[in-house]
Amino acid sequence: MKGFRSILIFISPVFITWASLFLGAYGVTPTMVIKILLNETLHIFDIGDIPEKAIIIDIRLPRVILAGLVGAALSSAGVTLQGIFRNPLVDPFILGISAGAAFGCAITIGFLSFLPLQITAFVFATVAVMVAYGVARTQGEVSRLPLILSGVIVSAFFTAMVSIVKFLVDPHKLQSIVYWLMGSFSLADWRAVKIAGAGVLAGVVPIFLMRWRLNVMSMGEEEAKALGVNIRRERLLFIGFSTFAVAVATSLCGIIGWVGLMVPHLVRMLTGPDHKSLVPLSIAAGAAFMIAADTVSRTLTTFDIPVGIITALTGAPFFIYLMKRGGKEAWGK
Amino acid sequence: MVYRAYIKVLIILITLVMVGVASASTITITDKLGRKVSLNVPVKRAVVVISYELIPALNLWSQVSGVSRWAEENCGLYKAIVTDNKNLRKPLVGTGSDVNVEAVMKLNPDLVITWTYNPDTIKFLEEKGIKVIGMYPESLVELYKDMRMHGIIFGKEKRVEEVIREMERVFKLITERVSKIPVERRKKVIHLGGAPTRVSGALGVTNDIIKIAGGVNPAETFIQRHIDVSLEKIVQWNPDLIFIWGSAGYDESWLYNNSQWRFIKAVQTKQVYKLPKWSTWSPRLAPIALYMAMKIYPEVFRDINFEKVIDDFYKKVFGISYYKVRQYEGF
Repeated sequence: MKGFRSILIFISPVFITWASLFLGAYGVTPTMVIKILLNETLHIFDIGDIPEKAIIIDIRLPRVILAGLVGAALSSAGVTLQGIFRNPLVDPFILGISAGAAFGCAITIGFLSFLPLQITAFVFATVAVMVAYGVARTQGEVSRLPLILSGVIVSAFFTAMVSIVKFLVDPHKLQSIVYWLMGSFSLADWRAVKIAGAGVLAGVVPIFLMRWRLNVMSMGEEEAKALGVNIRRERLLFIGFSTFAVAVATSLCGIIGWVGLMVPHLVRMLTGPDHKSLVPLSIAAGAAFMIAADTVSRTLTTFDIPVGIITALTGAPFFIYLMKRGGKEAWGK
Repeated sequence: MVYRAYIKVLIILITLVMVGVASASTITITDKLGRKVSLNVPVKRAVVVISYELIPALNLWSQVSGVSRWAEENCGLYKAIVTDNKNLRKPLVGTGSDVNVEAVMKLNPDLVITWTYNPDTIKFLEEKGIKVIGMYPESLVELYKDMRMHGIIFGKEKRVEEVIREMERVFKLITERVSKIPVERRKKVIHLGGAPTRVSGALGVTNDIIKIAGGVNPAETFIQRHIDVSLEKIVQWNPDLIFIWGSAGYDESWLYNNSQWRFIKAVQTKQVYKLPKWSTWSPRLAPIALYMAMKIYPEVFRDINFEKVIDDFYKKVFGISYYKVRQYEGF
C-alpha cells in the first residue's frame, strides 16, 4: 500500500500539470490545448501565432511550472528543516527567510525602485538567515534551540523593518508592497521560470542527493556524533541549500505559507519518516499541491484568489484528518 | 430718561448675542461608516487627512490646522501652493493610513476628516474625545455628497456649488460629445491598479468616469472597488484601451514589452496610458475624465486644447495655474 501511495505521489505533479493546462478563464478547447502543445514540442499542427497559443504557452504553462518549482522548493526546505531541528512545527520561514525577503521587497518598492525586486528580496532573505545563524553561534557551535530562537528574533526584526518602510512610503507604493506580500503567480512568465528553475534546482538537488543524512541527523545530536557525522557542517549545508531554494522562490512570487509546513507532514503520514523516500516524495507532493492550489485560485471564480488562502483552506482540514488517523506513528515515534 | 437708555443698551446687547448664536449652529452628519457626528459649524480647526485637495478648492486654509503627510509628499497641487505661500503650510499628523494620534491631539482640532480605510483609528480618536468623520466615496454621486458635506462643515456651501458646477461643466463637455457615439462603437476600457492584473470594478469613482468618458468597463461585473484577475481574463476581455493608475509602479512600456500581453488590442494598437497622478477624490476627477475621454475618442475632441481647458479649470477651482502645479507633478 505504501509503495502504491509513493508511486502515486511521485507521478502526481505530471498529471496535475497536465490537467491544469486545460483549465483557465480563457476558454481553450482540449483539442486546441493538445494541438498547441504538440506544435510547440514536436512542431506539428501548424497553428500560427494565435491568442490561444499565447494563453497556453506564454501564460498558463509558465505559471504552472513556476508554481510547481516553488512548491517543490518550499516542501523540500520544510522537510529538511523539520529533520534537522527535529521539530514538527518548523516551516521554511523559521530562520527569517520570509521576513528578510519581505524587507527586500519593501525597500525596493519604497526607495530603491531602480534595483530588481527579485535580487533584493533574495539578498535580504539570505542575509536574514546568515544573521540568524551567526546570532545562534556560540563558541563555534550552533544548537537547535538557539537557532530557532534567533530565527524568531531575526524574523521579528525584519518584520518591524517592513512596518517602518510601509509607514514611510506613500500609499501607492504601500499597495504594491502589500500586494507582493500576499503571494501570487499571476505575473509568472518564462523569465521567472528560468530564474526559479536554476535557483530551485541548485538548492533542491543537493538536498535530494544528501537526503539519507537527514535520517542520521533526525536521530539526535549525540547519536549522529557517535556515528561520525559532522553535525555543524551537515546542518550548515542543509540550511544553506534550503535557504537558497526558498529565497529564490520567495523573491519571485512573494510569501506563500503552509506548504512547507504541511506537505512534508502529509507525505510522512502517508509513506513514513524515512528521508530517503520522504524527501523526493515531499518535493513531488509540494509541486503537485502548489500547482493544484494555484489552479483552484485562478479558476474557482472569475477573479484570482490569493493562493495562500487556498493552500490554508484546502490543506489544513486534510492535514487534521490525517493527524487524527496517523497520530504519533507519522513522526516516526 | 436713564431708564430708557438702559433698555436700549439691553436690547442692543441681546440682539448682538442672538446674531452671534445664529452664526454658529449644531448639525449632525452621518459619515460613511454610518456614525452620527454632531458638530458646531462652521468648524474652525480641522485636521484633513485625505480630502486635502478641497482645502484650496474651498479656501479652507484658515480653518484647517493640520494635514497628513500625503498632502506634502504626494499632492503636487498642495505642494505648489504651500511652496509659494509658506504661511499656508500646515503641521503634519502622520500618514493617511496611520494617523499619529498625539500629533492630532496636539493640534486640538474640532474635527478630523479622514477616510474609512482603518475604522479602528477612527474609533481610537473618538475615544480620546476627538470628533471624526470618515469618508470613502464610491461613486461620483458620493464624491459630490462628501464635497457638499465639507461645504456644510466649513460654512462654504456656496463655494462647493461653484466647484461642482465647474466639474459638471467639464463632464458636460465630455458627455455632449461622446453621447453621439453609437452604443455599438463604444470602446472597451479597463483601469489597472497597483499591479497589472488588478482592475477597477463597479464600485469607485473610476468606473463612473469610464462611463462618463463613453467607455465600457468589462470589469464592471465585479461589484468591488478593485479585483485581482488572471491575465487570461484580461486577454479574454481584449480591451480597446487600458488606463494605468497614475501612482502605479509600472507604466505603458511594461505592457508593451511583455509578450504575454501581445494579443490584447490595447497593447497591439499602443492604446495604453498611464493617468496623471491626481487624486480622484477631488475636483480633479473632472480633468482626469477629460483626459480619458480624449484618449478613448480623440476624433470627437480634436478641437479641444486639453491643457487650456485644464488650466482654466485649475484657476477657477484652485486659484492656481495648471502649468505651475505641473512643475511639481511631472505630468
